[in-house]
Amino acid sequence: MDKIEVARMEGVYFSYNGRPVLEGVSLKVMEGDFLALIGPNGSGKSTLLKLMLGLLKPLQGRIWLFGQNLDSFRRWDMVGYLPQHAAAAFNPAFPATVEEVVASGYYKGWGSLWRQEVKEAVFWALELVGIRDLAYRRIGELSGGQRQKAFLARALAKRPRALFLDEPTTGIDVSSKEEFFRLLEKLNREQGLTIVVVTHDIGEAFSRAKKIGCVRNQGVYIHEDITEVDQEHIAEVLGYSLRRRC
Amino acid sequence: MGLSYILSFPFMQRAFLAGVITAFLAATLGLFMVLRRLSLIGDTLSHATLAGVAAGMFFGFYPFYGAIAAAALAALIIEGIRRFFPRYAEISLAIVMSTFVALAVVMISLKKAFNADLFSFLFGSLIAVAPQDVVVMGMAGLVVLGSTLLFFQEFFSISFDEEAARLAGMPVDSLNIYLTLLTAVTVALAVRIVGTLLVAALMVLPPAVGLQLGNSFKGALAFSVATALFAVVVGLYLSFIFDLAPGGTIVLLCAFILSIVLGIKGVKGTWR
Repeated sequence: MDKIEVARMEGVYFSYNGRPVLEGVSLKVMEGDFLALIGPNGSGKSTLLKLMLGLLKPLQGRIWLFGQNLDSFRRWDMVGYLPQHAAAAFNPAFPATVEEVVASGYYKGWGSLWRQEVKEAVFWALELVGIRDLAYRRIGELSGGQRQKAFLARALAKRPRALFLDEPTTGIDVSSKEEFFRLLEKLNREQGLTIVVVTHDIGEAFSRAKKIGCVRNQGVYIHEDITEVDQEHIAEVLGYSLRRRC
Repeated sequence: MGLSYILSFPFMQRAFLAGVITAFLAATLGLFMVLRRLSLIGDTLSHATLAGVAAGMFFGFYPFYGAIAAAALAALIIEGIRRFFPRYAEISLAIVMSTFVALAVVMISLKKAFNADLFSFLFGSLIAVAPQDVVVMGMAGLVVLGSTLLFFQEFFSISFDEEAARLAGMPVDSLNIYLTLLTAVTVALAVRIVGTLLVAALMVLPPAVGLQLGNSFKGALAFSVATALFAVVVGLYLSFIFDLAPGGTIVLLCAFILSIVLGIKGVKGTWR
């Protein structure tokens, strides 16, 4: 059976204040993919992800999610999103428990909160990311790694078919990073979840992802088979140091 | 003098009923506003109600309806202006507050009508709560309460993380406008009890107590509502007994509760 096309871009242009960021970008993300988008700072990785999700509008070009033009796409329950710095940038004094934050990701229209299915979805997601025991802790009291898992659970609570993550491991320690990427790999392998992740962590990207997308010079090049890619060459081209992961 | 004696007066029955409705709504919507860093919106909207009150006096319709309409209109204008100044959202509050107050001043000066009714809107009044006010407050209160329960998750989400709320499929722009409109109606209702000058305090002080004591969002909300209810009931009682301004008494009680909470937490923090 043919795989479903999760996301597709054709001839997408985007600029910030007249400075071109992406020029004529075309790409496809297929069901079951684990695509890591890597590239130097300011190359447009996060912009690319936000364009795919309609958080930014392209100057030119067309974008589809699950075969539907983004302008008319309404099935947001199929899409999970973990924004950049989600765990670091939020207000730690915000009075919310992990359970309440995760529940905010499960949205089925008016009056969602009062449905029993919400509680079930929340604890399913917390179990999946391994922090069920933290459900009633205040979100601001958690460590960086735990918070990021809570935000991942929020994105997973509605059981999406595709998960988009924007630099999810920024600001968390090395062992938490490895654990987080291991979890993503497991979700991709066992749940069949399509994953698109923007990351600076080239080591984790190469050891967990199935495909690598290099974002550079206003374009994107997708390496479909990363076993054939010279990791050190890519790191050098993109200006990374492989030692940085240690 | 017991509470049952005080409640034997019909005007006090109305004041307590209106006060309880106001306390519940102001503490609930105030928490959303504080968490969205929009504490000052209550102040702006309450000042805007003055223009509605003045318009009522000027054109001869019931000022309380004018207050509700003016607050709602001000809320819509604030949301509209914010789009022109996305990085300076507070400008919209300053523009709306000064324009509506100016409008009120002009209408009051034309009518030469700085009378007891206007005074009651500025500082709140127990005897000013008319039977029709209670009916309007009851109906509007039900709409605000029903909306808050129905959209609780949405309002929580846009207060916590607007971008994620958008991606969860929530109509964030419409929700922002609706939440601001509900706040406007709440402010207009509260004006009758605590007065224009002190509405903002009723929307900020109880949530401040809630933020200090609550370990969850629902917990913070419960403490916020409990503080407001306690302050309104005890404040109305004290203002009747000692002939005090109800708005000032209620707000001072809120401030007193907050200072005790902060004091205890401060002492605990020092001992740790």
